[in-house]
Amino acid sequence: MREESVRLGHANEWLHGSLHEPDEAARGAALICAPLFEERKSAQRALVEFARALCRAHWLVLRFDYRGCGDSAGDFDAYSVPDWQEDVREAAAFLRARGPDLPLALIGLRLGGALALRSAGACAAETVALWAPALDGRRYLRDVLRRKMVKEMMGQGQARTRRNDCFEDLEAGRRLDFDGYAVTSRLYRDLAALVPPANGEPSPRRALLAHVGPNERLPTDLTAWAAALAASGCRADTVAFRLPPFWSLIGYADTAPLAERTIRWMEEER
Amino acid sequence: MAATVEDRLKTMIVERLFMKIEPDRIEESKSLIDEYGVDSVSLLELVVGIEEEFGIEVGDEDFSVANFETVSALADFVRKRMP
Repeated sequence: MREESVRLGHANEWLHGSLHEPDEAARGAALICAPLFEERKSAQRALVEFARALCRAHWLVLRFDYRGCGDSAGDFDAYSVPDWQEDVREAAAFLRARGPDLPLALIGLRLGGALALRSAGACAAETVALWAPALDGRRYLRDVLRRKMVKEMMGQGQARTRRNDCFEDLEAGRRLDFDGYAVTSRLYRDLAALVPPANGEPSPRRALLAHVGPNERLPTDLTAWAAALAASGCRADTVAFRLPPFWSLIGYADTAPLAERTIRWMEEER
Repeated sequence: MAATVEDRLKTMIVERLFMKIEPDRIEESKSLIDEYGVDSVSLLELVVGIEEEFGIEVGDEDFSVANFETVSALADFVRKRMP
């Protein structure tokens, strides 16, 4: 098993990636789409461990940073959802060049799940695995602001932020700080335009929607999203894991059960 | 006998925060933050848990430590908003 840092994309706007190559012939190629904002940092270790587990199972794996994030080029506030979808396509093309005959799977966590699902068609990905996907952009924005409000409450006793005021500011063209990340009016509009899958939309051949939460009950929105994908001809499976929200934690969470189940699913009916 | 709001809160807190204690060991008047290690991530989980368990909405103006300090405070908060 080899790990290599790679640089892909254009000279001035490169993407930093980590390629995990199995020792034996790869059975498929897997592209991992990370979350954004603070969630990206908290999820880093879990995604590294998942990539290594996939590689041990003979998958060629690429992790990468979107432009404006991690080790990739650019400033966060210069980019938005369509740019990051382009980055997914760029990373998928890189993997295709490394393994031209390999079936491609996209795995996305939180907002990375939305980017993976929306990019699957353009990447010709056969399968998509979505971990705790944030497919409803408006709800995601409200949740991110809620996290900011909880921090204010902990520090000052009372939250000062009012979400509707924030949205009005963003709609008026102002930029706001979301946990240290500058959210531009453009990014706000693009995130708000992210909507869950609807019946009849193009979809991948297979999708796994994994719920991660305090119990193993599937939330109704996840089952509705799976039904919409199924109505579009996708074989959509759902699974629930009793795990803490590891993309929000400072400490370590053992995500091996989620990783192992996902790999088994990826290898079914191949 | 129907579970009290306090009992439901304790069960929800233990489940959502992956606490390794029995729900009835949580003392209703003790600080969740100081005594039970609730941090900002956990508090966010509690907000979501309260909304799901009791079918109420935690509004922006409700984000006050006074509402989340103890199980008793949470129970008062929930009772005021329950239909």
